Amino acid sequence: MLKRKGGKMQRDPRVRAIRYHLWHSKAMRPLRFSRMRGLRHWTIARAYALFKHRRRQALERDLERQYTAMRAAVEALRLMDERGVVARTEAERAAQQGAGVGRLYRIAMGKQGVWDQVPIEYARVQTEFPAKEPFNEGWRRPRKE
Amino acid sequence: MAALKTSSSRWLASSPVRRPIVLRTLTTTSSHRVDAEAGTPSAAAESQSVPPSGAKAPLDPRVLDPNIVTLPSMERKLRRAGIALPGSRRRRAVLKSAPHVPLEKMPYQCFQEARKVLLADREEKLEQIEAQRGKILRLLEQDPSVSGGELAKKTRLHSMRRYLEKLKVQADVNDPAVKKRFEDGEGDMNKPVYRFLADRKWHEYPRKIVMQRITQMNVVPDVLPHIDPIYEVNVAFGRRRIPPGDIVDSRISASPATLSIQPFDAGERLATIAVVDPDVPNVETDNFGSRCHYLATNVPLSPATGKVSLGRLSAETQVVLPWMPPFSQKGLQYQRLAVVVFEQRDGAPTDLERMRLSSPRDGLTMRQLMARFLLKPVGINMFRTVWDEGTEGVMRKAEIEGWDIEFQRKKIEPLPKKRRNLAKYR
Repeated sequence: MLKRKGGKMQRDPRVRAIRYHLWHSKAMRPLRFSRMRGLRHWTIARAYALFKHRRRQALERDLERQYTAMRAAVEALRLMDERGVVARTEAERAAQQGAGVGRLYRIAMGKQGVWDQVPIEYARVQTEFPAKEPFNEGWRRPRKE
Repeated sequence: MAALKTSSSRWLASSPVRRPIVLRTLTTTSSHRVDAEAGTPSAAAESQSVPPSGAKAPLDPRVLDPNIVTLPSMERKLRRAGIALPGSRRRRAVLKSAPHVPLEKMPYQCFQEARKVLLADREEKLEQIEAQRGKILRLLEQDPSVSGGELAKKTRLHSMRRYLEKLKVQADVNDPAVKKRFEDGEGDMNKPVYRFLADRKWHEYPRKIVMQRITQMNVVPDVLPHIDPIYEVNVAFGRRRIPPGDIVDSRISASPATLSIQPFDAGERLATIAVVDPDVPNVETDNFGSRCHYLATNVPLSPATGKVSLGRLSAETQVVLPWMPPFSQKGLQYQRLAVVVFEQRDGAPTDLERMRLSSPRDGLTMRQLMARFLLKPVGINMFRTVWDEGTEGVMRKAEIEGWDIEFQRKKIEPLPKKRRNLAKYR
């Protein structure tokens, strides 16, 4: 629908809206800056990149610290005898005797009852497509002879 | 843009510099630049140049700044006064409206906060640089047996120094003032950050072009077996810069070229420069040979050297073979001229007499030169020349033989036509 008003072509706003939603560019408008404005933009972008880099580094370092602490704790459990003494050297480790050595470590590593509250499917990594062999519900641990 | 104007003018309103009244009547917008540059004498000039009302006194050209005048009538007045106007009217208008506020005083909050972040990072980097320097000094004093042998110590020192250079670049690379100075071409090549930026800019496009030209036109492997350029080399004749691989008029290339050689690592070093033509026809052997058009050695280079005029190098201590104008004879295709810059081993000077004795102009190849004098190719560029209307004159002037020769292709007689044995195909 076209009509003339004041010598200017005016289109139906509905047509305009439809056209806009059909064909408008999804890409962001390019930044067009003057020299100094561009330089200021660049400065701010650099500072933000630096900030993001620092934040990511701090996060990674924190994760690394947690992982190392847990690893050290588990290792201490493994080298601990029933009196709670941790072996520091190979000789001390060889001198440790009895079923109580590393008992807490074995308990900590046990996976019994871990999946009691959670569906067992979550025990494996979830993927986009099913595996060649589907999950076997009927599987049981083979009995020791 | 509107926000920019208001905020900057608000900031400037608090500055102690006052604008002279005369300048405000001449220009449509404010002109802080003039205020800042003129300083105190502007008041005196103002009192002198205000004409009495009604009188047609000529305006004092000292008050009209030719850098910011945009009104045609004012331009005319300046021209009549014999003052040249720099740039276009549009450029002058931009200069007039651009307040020259230093970066650290720009009234933009986010920008200033960003600058603070970057400055804090710079301080941190400077501390790291100091720490690294201390570590290097301590390692230098250490006994090699403690640091795991002579070789291990050397390797470790090398990597520590490389890290120090990286830190030096990182300390300054985020500075907007550094970026601006580099873009304006005012960067000091003795500073690591400007060398880093120039190297990156060269790698982004110009080096790719040079590599494309020398591989497409087979300069590698015809002249050199292999090259990984680390110096930027540009060829110019007079003030005319030649794009890599361009065909140059023989009259232009008759005078020695000017090279701009840009190393991107610190320090002085000695270089050998050669210009060689690998397309010299040899009729006897029905083959092509090579001819050296220029050879100079012991040329001192540093990141801030800039241009090397081949015609101005010392004939006694540097030039082995003086400039011979490049030429292509009639009937030949284009001749390639490769400009190669070699680094001398350990920066040691070459024996000039030995090079003179062992480098004839005809038949000298770069492979021989590299093997004899332990040279390493570090920079390359090329241009071409063809037989054109000026070549004959250039050759006669330089007393080169062969200006009266025209090369022609040998006509190959076709083989006699054979009658096909049709019975065979049945």
